[in-house]
Amino acid sequence: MIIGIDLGTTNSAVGVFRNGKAELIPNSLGHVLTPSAVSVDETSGEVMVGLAARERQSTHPRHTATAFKRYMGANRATPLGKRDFTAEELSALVLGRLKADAEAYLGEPVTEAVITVPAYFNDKQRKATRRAGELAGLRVERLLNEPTAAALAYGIHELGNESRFLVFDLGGGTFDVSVLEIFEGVIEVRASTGDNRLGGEDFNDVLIEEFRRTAGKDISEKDRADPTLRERIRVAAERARRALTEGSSATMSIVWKDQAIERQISTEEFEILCTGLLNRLRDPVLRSLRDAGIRSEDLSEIILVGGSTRMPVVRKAITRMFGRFPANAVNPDEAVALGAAVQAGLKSRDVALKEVVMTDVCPYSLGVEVAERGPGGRIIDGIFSPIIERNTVIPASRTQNYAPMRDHQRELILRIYQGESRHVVDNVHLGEIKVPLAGGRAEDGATDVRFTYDINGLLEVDVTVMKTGETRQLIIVDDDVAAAPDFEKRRAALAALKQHPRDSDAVKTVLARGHRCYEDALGETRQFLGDQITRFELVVEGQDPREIEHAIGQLTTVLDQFEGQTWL
Amino acid sequence: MALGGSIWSILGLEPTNDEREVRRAYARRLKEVHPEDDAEGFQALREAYERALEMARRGWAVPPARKPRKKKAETVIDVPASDDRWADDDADRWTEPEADSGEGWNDAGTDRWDVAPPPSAPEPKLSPEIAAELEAEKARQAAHAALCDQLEGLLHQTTAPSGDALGIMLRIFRSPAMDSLRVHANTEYWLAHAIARGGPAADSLIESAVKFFGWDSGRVGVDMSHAQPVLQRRETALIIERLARPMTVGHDAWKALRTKQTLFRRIADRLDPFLSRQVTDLLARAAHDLPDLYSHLDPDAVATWRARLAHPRFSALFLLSLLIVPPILALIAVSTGAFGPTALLNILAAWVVALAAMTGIGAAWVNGVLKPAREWADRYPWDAPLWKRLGWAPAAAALLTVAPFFPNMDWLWPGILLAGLGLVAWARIVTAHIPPPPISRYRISEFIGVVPILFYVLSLPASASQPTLIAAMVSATLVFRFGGHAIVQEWLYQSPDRQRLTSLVLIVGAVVVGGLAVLTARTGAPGLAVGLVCGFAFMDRALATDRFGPAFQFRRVWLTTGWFGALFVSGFGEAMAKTAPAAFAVWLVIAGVITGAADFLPEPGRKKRKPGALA
Repeated sequence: MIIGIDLGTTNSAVGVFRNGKAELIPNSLGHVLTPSAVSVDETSGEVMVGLAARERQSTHPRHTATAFKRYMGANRATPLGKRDFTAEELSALVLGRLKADAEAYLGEPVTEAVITVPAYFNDKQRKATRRAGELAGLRVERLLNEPTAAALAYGIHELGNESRFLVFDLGGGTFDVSVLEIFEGVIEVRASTGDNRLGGEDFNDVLIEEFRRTAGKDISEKDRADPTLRERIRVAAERARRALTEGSSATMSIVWKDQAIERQISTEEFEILCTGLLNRLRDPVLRSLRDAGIRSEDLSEIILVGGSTRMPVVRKAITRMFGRFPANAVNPDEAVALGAAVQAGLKSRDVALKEVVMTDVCPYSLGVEVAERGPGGRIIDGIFSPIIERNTVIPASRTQNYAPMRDHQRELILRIYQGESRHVVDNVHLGEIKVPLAGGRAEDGATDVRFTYDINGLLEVDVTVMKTGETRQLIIVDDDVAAAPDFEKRRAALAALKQHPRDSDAVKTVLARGHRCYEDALGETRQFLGDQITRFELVVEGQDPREIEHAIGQLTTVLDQFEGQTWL
Repeated sequence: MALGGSIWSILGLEPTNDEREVRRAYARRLKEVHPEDDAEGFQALREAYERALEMARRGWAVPPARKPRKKKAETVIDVPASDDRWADDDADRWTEPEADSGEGWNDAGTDRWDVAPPPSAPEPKLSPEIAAELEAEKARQAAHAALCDQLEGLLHQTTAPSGDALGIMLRIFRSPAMDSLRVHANTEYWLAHAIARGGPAADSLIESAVKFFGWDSGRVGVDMSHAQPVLQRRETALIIERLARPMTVGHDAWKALRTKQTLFRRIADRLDPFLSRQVTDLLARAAHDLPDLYSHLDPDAVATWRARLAHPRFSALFLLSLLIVPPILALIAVSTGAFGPTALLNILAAWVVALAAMTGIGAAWVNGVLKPAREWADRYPWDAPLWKRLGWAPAAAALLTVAPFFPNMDWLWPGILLAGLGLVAWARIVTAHIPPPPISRYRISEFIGVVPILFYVLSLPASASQPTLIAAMVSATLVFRFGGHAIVQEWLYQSPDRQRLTSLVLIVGAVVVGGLAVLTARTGAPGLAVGLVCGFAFMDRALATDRFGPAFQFRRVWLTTGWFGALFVSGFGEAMAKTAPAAFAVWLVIAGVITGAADFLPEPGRKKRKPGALA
């Protein structure tokens, strides 16, 4: 069976299409959402993935990594314990865990998956995602855009109607907007834009800044750089943000050096602090509506996806933008994974999905760098000449003809860029091709350049010199990415990492949570929690499964009381 | 690439203007040609779909039904029931046209500001805070609308603005109602429209609006057509600022087109030789690039200038020369004594004659050359009947053939002059579809070579053949300079490879004409010699018109030296006067050969550039 995976910044989920509907697969803890976090045990070198790792973030910040989706495709390695991990490898660990969960649930081996990526991910980031899947042992033949996935999850129930709707996907780290149209059982993406640097984490940052500015004044400079402190403040900010979703005010409190530092914040204050971020939400929406040629009053539905859309400030801004209340049509956390499961079903030609077809678009313009002759014969360099314009339905293939600027040129260097700006310095550089020319007149060097976007949004370039018939092909590979033999080595190394077995997940998780709460508490509460944890550890050593289960339940109740509620 | 007929076959549909049908067909086919499996087939299908949709939207897929013709009983057309795809169109042609269903721009519901919102669920009972929020939103939008109305009022004023338009616009930008996408989009479109067409108050708003909405952001593929008029207006403002500065090119034209056209102004403008060129340029720019410029120009002035430019008349230079040249000619003529004693009356008479002659020549030029050329520049001249095209050429040719046999007949020298003009006119008319260069392009320095010859000729003992000489010289000049120029231009225009051939002609011509000149000088017909030499010198110039670079400069120096040299030499007595033209002819041969040969040699003075090096 093909599974559909939502690899999110904060949380990931996996789903499958069975019996005519999409369903999410629970993990070893029984939750459908698995936090995208990886942590390394400092003594045994064991790797933990999921909620257990997430809990360890405040206690062992130097051994835990979260929100690494932001670094996909970049050449950045995070040191965790003894070795460095790239974002791909961290994602691969998460994907491996999800794969194990799926195999346990379905009772059969799983080899192929559909993975979602933000619609606004560029070519490098998409290739990195595919590689992560392959490192985890999954064949990734299809990458799906997240807003399209959410649209699938929504649209699968609306196939009979003709409607236009907008998907507003504000996740942990990325923001995507897609405008879609459904007619006659065809789900068509009309336009897609977004912002790769805007997400729930940025709203956290706002609170963190505010906390540091006001309540954190007493903390000395040296302490400010401490990652543990940073992590505590971050957790406090996250909790406060969630509390603001429910209530009209929240308290950010941390314990540092046996001191409790608090800051009260109200919804109005939060709204004022977030003004800049909320303004940034508007530009992609305007752009995608304009590209699709649809006015905001023509939309029949606004679909909210991503946990951050639960925030009242965001909802208010959306309501003000569109002049109407957004619908609660889908579960913001689960929609993308459900959509991925539907796509997995489409791919495996599930009978129930016979009448559904979906087409997607590429969100970036793609082209080459050219020089032009301006007025007065001056030569202007660094101009971007698009070959495939954004919001072209994919798969798409377009050809353009270019000629060298002057006679007697020996080669033509085609630098490939992805972006919208007229000057290439503002666009993303993907790669370059050098084509040798035969020399001679400028017209003789005319070259056909063909760009093909395949259905995953990945690029192929074919270059043909018309006169000599010389061809070059480019499959874009990053310079810093390993070649094939290295890949196998990395895969083996990753597989060789000790991972703690699934069965002990629950124990590890609740222990990690216990430790975190212990550090957050003060005085009597702290002592009490310490006692409870010690008792729990004794039971675990006893190795009686039923007693362990009972003890987990007990400790969880205690911790719930302390924290208010379990949350992810 | 999907061609016309195959679009519909790919979609599996009859050609139709109904968009819904097209979409339905696309959806049907899409399930068969799955994008996951068949990327190429899908691409073809998608392209066919997009083109069919475009055609349907514009109503091009099915040709519109024509008005029914009067049906005569015997011409009833029996449309055969065939499976010809276009059978339906044939039937349509003979039916009543359908009443205009009103689709299109005025379709109810697509008017931007009248749209009804999509039908929503029945309004639920609103909680008090939501109701309060809705009220607040309404109030915000009302405030926003009030600000917009205020700004519109200011923009409607055609005189100097009375309020602070910029302040109001900034408040509009900051108003909380702009959070709504609908309000933002509507405000943007309205503002673009209002600023582009507004009164003087709009000029202060342009920069801020462009920056706020990002109308000149340079992003590719964005539809900013609503912002184009504003950007154009901004560019116009910049250009006007530049034109208003006294030292720039076009400033004179700018001033001329903005002043009231009094009689004095009109005369003054007529006499300015360079003004008409500037005005032409400015008007052309206003017509093609910057229509906003018209609002800054005086309409009377524009109309006057347009009328003047449309009808060729005496140029400013010519009018000036009418003031200067006749008295000089008169003085010279009378001083030779050929027209009687040197008395004021005679001078005046000669002056009048000269003036009349010049005016006549000018009028002949305008009516015989410029006007037909302008007329025929619009039409393809080869369509005109031959007799029109030849103009005065037959008469001129006849005269020219006859004239050499009657060297002493006084009344023939006007004929020869006429002949020259006729040939020129013929040349110009025949080659009329190349626009004639404006007179100001002929620099005075090109004719400076005439001066020594003129003096030389005038210094000869007065004889009956002197006028002939002058006439021969003038007509040869005109014929070969203008006529030859025109003919050569036409010939070269058709193919740039002919440059080398003209150079060859130049060399051969130089030798032939030079030889002829030498011979005639020896046999004592100096008039012909001078005429030939003169004429050829100018033809040589005509042939070399398109060659730039050092060779041209060099030759000009050579020629001028030759002129003065010949003059100088001819001062040394009768014999020298006879040989001077011959000597000059030789001089000319050398110049002609060098220039002609220059085309066959590599260009001197330019370094060979390495390939790929920057210019």
